[in-house]
Amino acid sequence: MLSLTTERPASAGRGTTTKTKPWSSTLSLRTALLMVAPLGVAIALFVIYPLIKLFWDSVTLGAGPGNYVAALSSGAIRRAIGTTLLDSAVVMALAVVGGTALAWTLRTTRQGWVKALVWAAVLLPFWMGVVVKNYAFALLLAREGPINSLLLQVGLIQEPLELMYTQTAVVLGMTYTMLPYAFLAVFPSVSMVNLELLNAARGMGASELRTFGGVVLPLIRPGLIAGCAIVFAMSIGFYVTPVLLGGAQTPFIATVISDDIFRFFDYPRAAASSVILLVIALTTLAVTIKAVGLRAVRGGLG
Amino acid sequence: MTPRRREGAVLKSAAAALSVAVLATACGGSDSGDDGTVVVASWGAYFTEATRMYLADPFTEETGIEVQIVDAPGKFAANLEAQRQADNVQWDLLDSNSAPDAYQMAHDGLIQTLPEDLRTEWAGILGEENVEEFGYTFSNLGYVIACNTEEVSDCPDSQEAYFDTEAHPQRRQMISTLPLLNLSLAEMASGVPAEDIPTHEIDLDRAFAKLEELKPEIKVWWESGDQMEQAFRNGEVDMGIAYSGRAFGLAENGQPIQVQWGGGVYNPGFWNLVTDAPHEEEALQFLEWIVENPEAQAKWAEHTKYSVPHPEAFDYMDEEFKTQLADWPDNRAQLTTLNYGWYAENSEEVNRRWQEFLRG
Repeated sequence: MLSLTTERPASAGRGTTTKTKPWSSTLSLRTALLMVAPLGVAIALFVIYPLIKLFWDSVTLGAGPGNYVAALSSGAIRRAIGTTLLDSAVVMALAVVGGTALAWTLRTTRQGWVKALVWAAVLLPFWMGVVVKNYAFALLLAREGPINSLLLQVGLIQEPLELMYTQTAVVLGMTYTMLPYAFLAVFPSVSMVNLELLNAARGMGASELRTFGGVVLPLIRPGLIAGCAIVFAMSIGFYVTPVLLGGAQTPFIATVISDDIFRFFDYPRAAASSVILLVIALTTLAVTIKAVGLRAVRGGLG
Repeated sequence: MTPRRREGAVLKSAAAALSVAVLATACGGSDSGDDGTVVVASWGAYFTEATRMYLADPFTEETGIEVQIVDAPGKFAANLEAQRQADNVQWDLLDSNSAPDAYQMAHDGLIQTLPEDLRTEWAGILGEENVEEFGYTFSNLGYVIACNTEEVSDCPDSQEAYFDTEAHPQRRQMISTLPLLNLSLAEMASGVPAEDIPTHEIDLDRAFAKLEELKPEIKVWWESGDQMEQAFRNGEVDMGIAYSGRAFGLAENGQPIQVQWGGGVYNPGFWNLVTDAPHEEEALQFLEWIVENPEAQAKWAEHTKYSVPHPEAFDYMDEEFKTQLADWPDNRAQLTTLNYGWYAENSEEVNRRWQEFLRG
């Protein structure tokens, strides 16, 4: 993302050396650099500097490198890391499968209303505020909420299910939030699949499953991997959904970081936990890029 | 126009826009700066509304001193800590700072010791027990046991009964943000007499073990009063520890909620003066005005459902309503108070163990 936005105008500017034309749609290198400069300054100020400062604080304030020992020796933080990674992995799987199903439906359907429905399903959670979304889930999953009432009335259960303040609630809420991101990551790959290839495969006697596994899957693989990386990296930083739907007993790393900052004023340990979170996110991205190449990830991003 | 000229023009207008923005920020800064406006941090929603309507507005009308109210529910200490670290204290007063926070913040020097002559004068009006070195009580409440009467026929009126999961197998909720309260309740359940709690040094191992036993029955650990009310309304829990005012509010709105004062804890809030408050003089005038106006206190109490310190305030209140307040003598007699001094000394260890208990 980063390199994309900074590179494009600069490389576009490199081509223009003619100053004779009174007006040109391509910019001179100087203008291009000037136009990119505010973004560069903003990134340096608001992204790079804070990250360096965060890392520096985590190893110099408080117990120094001991902050990491303090963070990792806390049962609460270890459990939060475990919950965060596990729930994010499940959310990643659900969101990418769901997003791919939606994208594939959109690619193959000829019905206008189905297309409209898919776009609505994708864009509605995208446009809703995070609190509204989570509140909706809190109402749905409540002990006397619609889901439990329905199951009780149908007679599938005798006692209301324990839905709120569980990891299930967190995973459901997060999947709903992440679905559009997964969809938007896989859609470019899916939309480029030539449907004639499917006919060819079927014509040569491949089963539907074999066609999907042997033709479609390899074609959309970069999109899938990009989707997984984006959803996972974003999921591990979630705060609001775990707090609202998971409650005090289902903490994410962000929850314990917030405890350290707002309750215990322990900035050094909060910094150490934040760096741990950041390292996990960056490692995920690095492994993904290593696995499929930057081009594929970018292609997946559109 | 040549391209070069055009660039220059764009730059100039960009620079102009930037300087306007900078000026605007600077003006905005001085706006809330030195014109003597008292800045009060409060709790938001109806709380801020009551302070604005019944305290701040009448005070401004009488004295001409403006009062600005900032909402920072539950974040007084964190915000003041940040303001102090940035060397830029912006708040003057804290409205109804909760007792554990007030004692801790006094211990940490975030709030001031008030002038002695004022304290003596105020103790004469409000009563000795309502004035501390760092402020006077306000928005006092009880942490009480509340039950949904449709699910619980014999609502527990002691902590022994509340912690007894065999006699009361119902789903419970407790407050996630107050380790001292929960540990003290656990100690009462282990047999420490309520009247000893104000000076009792908590046996942490015993108290946490007691809480660990109850933990499976605690379905909601609430952080805000709204969340507590929601859990009762949704049927998520059948009983729990609640703010007295909020619990009566639920009952008033038709929920089948019963409140027990027995086994409860008195929790005063405090008006505090911030250390290095930029408008200390005006802020003290505001504090003085509140002390001297029992009728304003009574109206504030009726709006928020929280108790106020002036004994004459009860004279201005509804007959039934005043019996629902923590300071009403019959109720006050059943409530114990917490050992905040001990907590301020040991908060680091207690908070850490609390986090491990709650999140771990």
